[in-house]
Amino acid sequence: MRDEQAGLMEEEILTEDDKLSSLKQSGDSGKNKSKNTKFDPYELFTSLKKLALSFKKPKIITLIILFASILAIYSAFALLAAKRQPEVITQQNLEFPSPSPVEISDPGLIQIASDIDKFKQEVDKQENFSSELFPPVIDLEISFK
Amino acid sequence: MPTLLRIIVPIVITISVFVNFSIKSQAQVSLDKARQDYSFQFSKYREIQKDYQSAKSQYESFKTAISKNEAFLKTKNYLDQIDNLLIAYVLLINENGQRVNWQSNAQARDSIANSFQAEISYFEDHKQKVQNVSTLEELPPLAKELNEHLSQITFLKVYKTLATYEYTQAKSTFSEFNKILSSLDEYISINYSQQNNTVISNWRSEIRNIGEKTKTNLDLAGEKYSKTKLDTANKDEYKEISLYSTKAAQELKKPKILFDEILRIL
Repeated sequence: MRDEQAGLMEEEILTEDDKLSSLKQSGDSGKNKSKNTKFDPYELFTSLKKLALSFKKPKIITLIILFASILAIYSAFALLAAKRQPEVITQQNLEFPSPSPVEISDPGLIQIASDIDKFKQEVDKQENFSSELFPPVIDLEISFK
Repeated sequence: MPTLLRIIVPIVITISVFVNFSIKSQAQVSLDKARQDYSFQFSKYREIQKDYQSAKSQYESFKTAISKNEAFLKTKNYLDQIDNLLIAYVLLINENGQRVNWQSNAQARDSIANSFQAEISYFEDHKQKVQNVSTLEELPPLAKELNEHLSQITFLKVYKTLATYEYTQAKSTFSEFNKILSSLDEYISINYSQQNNTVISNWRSEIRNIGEKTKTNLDLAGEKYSKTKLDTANKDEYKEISLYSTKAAQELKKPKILFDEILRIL
């Protein structure tokens, strides 16, 4: 009985060990994967260089890449600037209900309304005439020593 | 016959509207022209005055025949320009009469026009006298004569005219105000006789207060105006008339809102 039990325990320990080792292996492979995906700018540069040199006209390709990178940097800066723009403070204007133009349908009031318009024009005309028409200052003290 | 009327009536209305419009626009054109001319003559006067002052100081320093002749020519030119300026000024004042509503003082319009025509004739005569002189010594008496005429006649006519314009305009506007008020009173008494509308009552009392204040100021202006001579007024008289006319005009600005308000209520 004890032997049977010991055999079972051993089996359990072995299976657990197997599980642990398989887990470790999977963890190691994940680490390797992450190592493989790490960004290397030097490698990118060399690969780009190789790509540029692989073409028939590498100078033109270099110029295009330069132009594209300038464009990308410029648009990035433009995006940043657009994000940093302060919010426009909009003053909330208080809206007072303005008197709507009077619509007159009553014939008795039409003539009165017309007289009122005429009156308003007369009032606006009323101004101090002296401001424009005061006599000019003329030097007429003419004498010779 | 009715067919003929149908044709004639629209034609007559169109012609009258066109004539009325063209008269008004012509009046505005002549007023603008008078303004431009006065402005031009004034700037020319300033230029010629500098030349005259320069020639005068040259002559007083050197006392030579050539410098005297130069002073004579420049002074003559200066006096000639003063006459031009004064003619333009008088015409500008006369043209400004178009801005006035003459319904309350129609006879004054012709009186002012005649009065200024006499002034224009005087300046033209004076201009001719200046043209006829040949020595420098003859010019200072002509300048003195013009100066005396300005202070004793022209400027007094100008003050009277300005007083007339301001007083007449205020009076005519007040007549318009009273006309509207009586029309509104009539309308309200017909349409709102049964109702006890407190808003209308308060509107009425407010507008009547304005009317009373305007009348008080206009009466004072009229009292001062009636004391002036037929064609002339001195500067102090003008200032008093102008003060009360302006006060009346300021009062008459208040009903603009009140009239709109009552139209909305009615």
